Amino acid sequence: MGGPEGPPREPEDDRDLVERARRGDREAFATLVRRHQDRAFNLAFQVVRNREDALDISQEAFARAYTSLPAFKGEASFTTWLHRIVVNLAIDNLRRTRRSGTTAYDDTRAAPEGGDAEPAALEDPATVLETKQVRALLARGIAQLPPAQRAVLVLREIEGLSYEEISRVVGCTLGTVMSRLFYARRKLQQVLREHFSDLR
Amino acid sequence: MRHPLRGTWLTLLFIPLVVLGITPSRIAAQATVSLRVQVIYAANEPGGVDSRLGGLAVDLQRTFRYSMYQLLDAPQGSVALNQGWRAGLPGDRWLEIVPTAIQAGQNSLTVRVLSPGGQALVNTAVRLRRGATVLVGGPTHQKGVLIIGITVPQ
Amino acid sequence: MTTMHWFHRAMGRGRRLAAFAAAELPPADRARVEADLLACPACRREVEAYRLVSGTLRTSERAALAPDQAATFWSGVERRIQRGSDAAPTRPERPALRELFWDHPRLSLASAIAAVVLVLGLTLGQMGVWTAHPPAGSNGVEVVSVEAGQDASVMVFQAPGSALKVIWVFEKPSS
Repeated sequence: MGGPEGPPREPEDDRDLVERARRGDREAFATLVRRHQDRAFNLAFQVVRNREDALDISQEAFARAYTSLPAFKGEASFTTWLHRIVVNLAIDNLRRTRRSGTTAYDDTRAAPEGGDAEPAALEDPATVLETKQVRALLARGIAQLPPAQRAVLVLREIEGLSYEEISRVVGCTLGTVMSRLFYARRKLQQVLREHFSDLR
Repeated sequence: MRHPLRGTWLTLLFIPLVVLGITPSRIAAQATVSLRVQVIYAANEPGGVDSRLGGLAVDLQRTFRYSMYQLLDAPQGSVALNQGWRAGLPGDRWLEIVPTAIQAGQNSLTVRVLSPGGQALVNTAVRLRRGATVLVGGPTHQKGVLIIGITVPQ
Repeated sequence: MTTMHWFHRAMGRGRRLAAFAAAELPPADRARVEADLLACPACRREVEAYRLVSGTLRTSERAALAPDQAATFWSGVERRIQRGSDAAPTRPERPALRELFWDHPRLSLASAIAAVVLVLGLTLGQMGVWTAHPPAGSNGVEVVSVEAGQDASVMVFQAPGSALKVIWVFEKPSS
């Protein structure tokens, strides 16, 4: 089934687009950007928890990916490669903002202004309240994590990457990934247990 | 009616069209980048610091804890954008540098250290201001390591 | 903390509890932890806390670009790429060929001269004459990306007091 032009074309996969982009086809790279921009933005946001910084980081990541296309030999997927650049920029951002004392961890602004960040209205209010409390506590806990632990936590718990994928993204061994994840999770569960008496 | 100066204008038109045919990317592709490489053997052995390392010696001693730094080779060359430049390294390894862009005095390079089998030990993209040096180090050599200094000279 | 809980923690079971809570243990280890949990209520609460952490994070709302941000995202990327490349003056809109060269001889000469100037301007822009680009890194070096080969791992660092940025390759020992 298709329009007057015929059946819809299969979308080109990332490898083909990267290959075309390396040969100078900027429109191919634009397609890659549009395909991955949401995910890159979300990843950046989940690490730095600031929309303006996340927009900056995700656009910068694509620009850097473009300029270093010749260095991308295709051993990893484009997504892994891009995510590595995003994570590194996000970690740099965290370190810079921490040094300047301007860390702002805003858990309530995952949605754009005017968007609905509240859970479904049908949930029982007590559950809604507790979830909000838990999210707020976790937000504070995550803000205290070292950038490298925060990045690994986000990649695992929010992006759902496997340990192997995480190690490729952050460029460290599996053991280091597991270690950072453990310390991050432990910190957060300590935060919750301090607050909720039934978890102590 | 045939334009009285058509011939003249067509000739004048032809010149810029030919010039425009040399697109900016092709002009950029013909731009060349100078490279200077220092291949250094570093180890905890007697020997001190090779005086030929010049100003790099101080930074090496601030960065690492080796007792000996010996300059093994200092290849130099020029290479066009997006063309590969290779220099041999001890142990049948190769250093490959590909300049990918020149942007306002800064040079984007991809740098690979290749093993004897051709696999990349490391593949990195760097941006260097003219005169700045980046080090790629760590491949084992004899009782120590190789440290490769890469500079785009002024 | 109860004695049993302390014991479990002292035996390094903290990591195992965390992995159990995240369903990352192989079946044999999982069974062992389940048995331990029967005897250690504090351990059960710790597992519950880990599950609450993971469960909450996994249902975190995904951040989305606002519609106007999504629509202009690519042009923002392009601007960054351009800032890093040529910053030549904006190209003048090129009139239709026929109009220029057949109907307006004076314009055709002017456009021929403009075309030559444009090419020169683009070339000088490529050489960075127009731009004042921020320096790459504090010492003129920026590592944009780095990947280790299969037989190596890699680290990027800069020692305190040193101006040098170092990409260090750790070769894996050959078997």
